[in-house]
Amino acid sequence: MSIFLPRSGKLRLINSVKVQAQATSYDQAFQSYLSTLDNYRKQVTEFENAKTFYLQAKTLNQKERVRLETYDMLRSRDELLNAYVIVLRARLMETPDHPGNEKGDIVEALRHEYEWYELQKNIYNQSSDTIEMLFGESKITEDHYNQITAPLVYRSLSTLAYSKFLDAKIRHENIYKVLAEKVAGADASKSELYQRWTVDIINEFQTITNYELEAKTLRENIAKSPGSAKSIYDRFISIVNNAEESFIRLNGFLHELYYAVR
Amino acid sequence: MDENINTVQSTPIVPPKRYIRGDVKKAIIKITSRIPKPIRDPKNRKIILLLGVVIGILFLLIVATLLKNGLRRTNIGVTITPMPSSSPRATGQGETLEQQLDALQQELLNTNFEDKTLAPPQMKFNIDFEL
Repeated sequence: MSIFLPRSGKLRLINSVKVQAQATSYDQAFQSYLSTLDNYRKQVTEFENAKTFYLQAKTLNQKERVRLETYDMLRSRDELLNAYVIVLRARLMETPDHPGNEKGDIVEALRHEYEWYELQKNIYNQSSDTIEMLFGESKITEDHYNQITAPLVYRSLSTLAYSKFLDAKIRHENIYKVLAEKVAGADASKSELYQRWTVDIINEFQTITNYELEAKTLRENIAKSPGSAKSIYDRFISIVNNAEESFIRLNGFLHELYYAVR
Repeated sequence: MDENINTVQSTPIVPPKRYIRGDVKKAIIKITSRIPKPIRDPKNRKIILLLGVVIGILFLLIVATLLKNGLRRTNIGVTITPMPSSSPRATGQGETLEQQLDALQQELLNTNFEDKTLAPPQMKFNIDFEL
């Protein structure tokens, strides 16, 4: 079973080994992504060197070399984007599913992205494309990345962070429920003290809930304003990072209450 | 002396009783005649046979279920290795409250909600230049 099942006729031609390679765990997908990233960086360096040599002398040979390097670099860029989409998808699959984290929709959208880059990678023609044509085809990828892929990437990343946030909140709530029962049955002499501690704990939960609501709104805005996806995501991450401090404080409070009532 | 000899010779020899087919048939008829009439009726007999089959199947099912449950109980001691998962979620099942709190604390201190390793790769899009 592959992560992405190609639907279009062209994609059916992708050999089974390749499709099988997509059915990977997150760790495997991440290693594959790192290897693709290395290859892309290498191709960019080759392209830059060829470009520099060409601009110095502008010979036909150097023009041909820069054309071939552009072709290799563009293909490796699409392969990198594909590997990145696969790794994001694998990570999402391993992430707990919470109501409202849109995991299913994003996973499906990532599959479409995979298909798009798989097709795009095969558009370049090594023997017949001129360098000007390659520049034009690169622009198509750039536009697609900015308009479709990047917003989806930030939606995916925000979903991953938001799921971890919700997971931490739910687990703390579950612990608190057990402790609250112990507090209710505590000795009368300690009851007032525990009540005061409980108020502080509830306030911390409320702070976390406020962060949650803010983060949720920002996540929705990423989908609504794809053009500003990066800046909205940065704000989202800032909120989530602030919440981490609140979680650490809450965890400390619950530890104290636990040692008192156990 | 002669008399004694004659006495011995006149004792009749009884041959062992042999059952013939007719005897068996008579015996069967005798046994079946003891079965109440409604059961002997061919129509009712089919229903009774069917009931017998159903009861037999139910009996076998009960025995099979009991055996299966018994086998399961014997497997309690087998250690099942959980599937490794790199999911950030750790279940709190089977852990004490303290262990759950400690695990959460470690996760909060060691990892962030934001996964920086998955930040989008830096890509070069502006590749064209004056030829």
